[in-house]
Amino acid sequence: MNLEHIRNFSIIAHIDHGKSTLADRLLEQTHTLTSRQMQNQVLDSMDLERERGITIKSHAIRMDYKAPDNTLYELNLIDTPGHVDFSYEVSRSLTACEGALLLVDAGQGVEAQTVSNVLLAMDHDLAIIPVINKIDLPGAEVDRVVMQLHDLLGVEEEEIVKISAKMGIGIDGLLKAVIDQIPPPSGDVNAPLKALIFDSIFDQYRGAVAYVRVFQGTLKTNMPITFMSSSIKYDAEEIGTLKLGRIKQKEIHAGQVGYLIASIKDLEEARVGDTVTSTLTPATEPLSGYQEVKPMVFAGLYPISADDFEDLRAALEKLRLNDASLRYVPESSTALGFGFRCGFLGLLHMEIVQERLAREFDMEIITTVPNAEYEVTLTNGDVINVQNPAEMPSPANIQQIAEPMLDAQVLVPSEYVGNVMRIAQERRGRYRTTEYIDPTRALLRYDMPLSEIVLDFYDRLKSVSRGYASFDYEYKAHQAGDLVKLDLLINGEPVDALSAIVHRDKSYEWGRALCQKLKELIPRQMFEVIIQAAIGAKIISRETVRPFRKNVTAKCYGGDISRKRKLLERQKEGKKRMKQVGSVEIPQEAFLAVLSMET
Amino acid sequence: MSLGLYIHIPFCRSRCPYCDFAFVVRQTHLAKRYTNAVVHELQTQINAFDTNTTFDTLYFGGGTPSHMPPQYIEQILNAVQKHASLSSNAEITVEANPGDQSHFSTLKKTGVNRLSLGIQALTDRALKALGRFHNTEDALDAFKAARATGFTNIGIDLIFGAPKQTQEEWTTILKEAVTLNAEHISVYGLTIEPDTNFDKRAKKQQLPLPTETLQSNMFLRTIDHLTAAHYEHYEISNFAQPNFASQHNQSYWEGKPYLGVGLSAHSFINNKRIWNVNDLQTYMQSVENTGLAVASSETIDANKHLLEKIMLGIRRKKGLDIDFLEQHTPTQLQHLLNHNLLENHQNRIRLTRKGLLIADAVCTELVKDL
Ligand SMILES: Nc1nc2c(ncn2[C@@H]2O[C@H](COP(=O)(O)OP(=O)(O)OP(=O)(O)O)[C@@H](O)[C@H]2O)c(=O)[nH]1
Ligand code: SF4
Ligand SMILES: [Mg+2]
Repeated sequence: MNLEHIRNFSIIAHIDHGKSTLADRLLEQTHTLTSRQMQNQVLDSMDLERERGITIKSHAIRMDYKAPDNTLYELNLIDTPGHVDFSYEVSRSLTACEGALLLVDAGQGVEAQTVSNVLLAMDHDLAIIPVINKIDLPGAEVDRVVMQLHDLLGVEEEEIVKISAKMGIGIDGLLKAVIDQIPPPSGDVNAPLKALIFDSIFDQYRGAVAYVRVFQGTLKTNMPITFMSSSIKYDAEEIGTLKLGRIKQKEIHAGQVGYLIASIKDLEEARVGDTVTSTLTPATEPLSGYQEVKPMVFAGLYPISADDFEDLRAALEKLRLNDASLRYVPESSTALGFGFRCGFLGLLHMEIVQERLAREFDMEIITTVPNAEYEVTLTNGDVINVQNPAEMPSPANIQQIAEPMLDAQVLVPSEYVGNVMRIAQERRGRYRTTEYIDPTRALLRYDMPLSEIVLDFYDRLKSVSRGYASFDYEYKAHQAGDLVKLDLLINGEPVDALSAIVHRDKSYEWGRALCQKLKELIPRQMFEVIIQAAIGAKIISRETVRPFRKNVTAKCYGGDISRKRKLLERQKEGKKRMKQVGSVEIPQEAFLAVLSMET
Repeated sequence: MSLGLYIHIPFCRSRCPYCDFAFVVRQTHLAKRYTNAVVHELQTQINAFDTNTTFDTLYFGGGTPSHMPPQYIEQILNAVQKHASLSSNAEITVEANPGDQSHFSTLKKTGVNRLSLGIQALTDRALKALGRFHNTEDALDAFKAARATGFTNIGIDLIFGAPKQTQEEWTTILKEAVTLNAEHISVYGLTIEPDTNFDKRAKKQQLPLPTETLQSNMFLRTIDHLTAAHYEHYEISNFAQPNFASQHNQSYWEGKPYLGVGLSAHSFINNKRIWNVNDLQTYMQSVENTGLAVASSETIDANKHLLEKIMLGIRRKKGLDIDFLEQHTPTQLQHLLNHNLLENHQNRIRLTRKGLLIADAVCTELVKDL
């Protein structure tokens, strides 16, 4: 295909602004899918994506489009996720493109991820086509959004495409804009091969499937290839382009997007960001790849039943095949036994992993409260990373604890600015700037400790802004803070899985709230349960769960036995699901008590 | 085959606000039809057994069996004798309430040899707080009438923990009860069962029950008082003079088979527990049409059997055999012995005084790993 007739672009937007729905319309308009294949948000192929109505993974698909002038174009589209946890998916997708459709919901206007996506697209020097979507909505405020886009991108109204993805309005115009405004790819099809792996999946039968964008040269079937960062060599067994399934091709050349299969058993060998070149006539320099995605939050995952540890390991291994951003290392806890410390991109990612473990692998697990990763400088000058609060060295050996700080942005209608500032301050946010993206919408920038937003910042933000605030962040750097380790003791025994790293100023409040919440969650037992929070040797809070004084069924005759035994069976199963700390039984929810405590 | 027979008689004079049994009030006009249904069901059930049936114990429970004209009890007893046999010394109990004294002598004549009197309390205040339809005097009269009729095996039921009850009041009741010299005393802690009138009041915070600590002290006082009066505390809620423990109830706790006939009655035969429907009309119609009125059943497999054995056995003074528990749940047994909730008495394991108060929690702990 003549490069002039190829366009590679992503659809980017804030969450729920209609990216996947627009992808549907484009696929329809270009007759890429049969009507039998068509369904709403067809590219959201995972069950979880469909159920939650969100995109989790980027999806690439090729469309063959016959323009009104009868020219045939190859359009490679990548639908991207909107949620901040998956923003690395967006930036990876953008490297495979020359342009981006920036969608803005006509009812919501520009939101936090809109802004960050614009910056990403600009970083990649992409042509940005501003698109206002959902113009069919009764509450659409097209004029206001035009103004916002004007302020954000410096574009004039005529340059903005107005569509309704749902109703299929304006799609032709948008396709025309794609052809006219997104530059065709460049690159010498005869030069040594350079193909960037921008995504990969694991196919049970075929091994790793690398999604590549060829920047120069031509990738041909059976060609000997080398992965440049690892120097590992394979033969290109199968190559092709992407429809809903894979379409085999003899070759794909510079400017094109497609897939590559080479019997690669380990996803690590077809690492996202690596460059594929020809073994016989290799390129000298690889393409600049990606920064490795770093997990942001960490939590312990423990099987409810100790026997399931190996099953959990196997399940995590399988998940990781398709989710390179998931990290895990074995760890053990005195309270919870053997499990894994897992790193996640964010809370949504964590939730998704938990849910997949439950539904795809039938794993019953306890999750500990998620936390950030701390950089601890020891008194001997060594620096260690601590991903589990329980493993924080003793204060005597610590010179300083640094925590991850975020560059956070909140986009909010001006009337809620005060509220947002108040909660940002409560969460130890350091104010940086305010910009107005239109007369009524402020973009506040803060440096925020990750640990302060992990738990419920987003919910709080939504509630103080009547749902109007949107929020986006990026890791900035680790920064020293006055942090302490708070321990939780049950009948005098520390429960490692409930340790937390908190700011000293908040430690008392935290300790008290945690003790109170646990008191609510731990059921009465045969013995008194004393719950204490401590910093080092100092007890800062205490609650007790009173023991049963009287717990005895009065009547147990012929007609009572079955009912009474069933109750006993239920109670006994309930006990099995609890974790035993000393002689105290702690329900699973207690390990997530922090998530529901009131401070 | 020898087994126990339970017959349920659902008629009551009035509704007690704590009661969740299968009962109906002001329906005695149905007694005849109901009795016929019971006899019909009894016959169907017995005919289904392929061996001759002998009943060792017979228990008319309710509801209030004494509230029904006694000729119907007689009719049922006759049917039992016609279709099966009663062992010569069979314990035949009828539950009776104060106010039904006029029926006692007929019951005696038809062969009933044990009365279980629903006295519940012996102060007017407590009876009122419990929503009972009789006063102390009625209760005492009923007891005297039973003795006068010639009953030599009388049990009385008492409830502690009535709304606003104090330890003093409860002690008064215990003392008064002991003076009656009943052969058997059942003492139940008031239990708030779901959907009862008391339950509704409790949910509205309108049921001022004694605190849990006070209730446990009442229970301890009961044990002390009745054992001092030479009653044997042979099951958590049951006290008896020597040789007067309820044979029928003990057979439940020993896992023996029993046949239950009548509304909502449970049977336990051949490792199956079967129970009847608990709506009166449905019961009568079903029996009239099919001879039976089974609602549902479950098979008591080895594990369920084990659980029941422990659950029922641990409530008894006799306790459970140490080897048996060692075999099935050694760790938990040791743990509970260590905490002085269970004790080893001549190689039988039973609840300690401390354990009795929280018997349910102890039992759950004991069976945790099963
Ligand atoms: N009224 C109206 N609703 C739309 C339009 N486009 C999308 N929607 C609705 O907006 C919701 C979100 O649409 P999606 O296409 O899943 O949004 P998305 O941007 O892909 O969402 P994420 O992938 O989660 O970021 C769905 O309920 C769509 O039906 C539109 O043009 N008009
Ligand atoms: S008399 Fe007995 S069965 Fe009838 S309602 Fe009262 S407690 Fe229940
Ligand atoms: Mg989507």
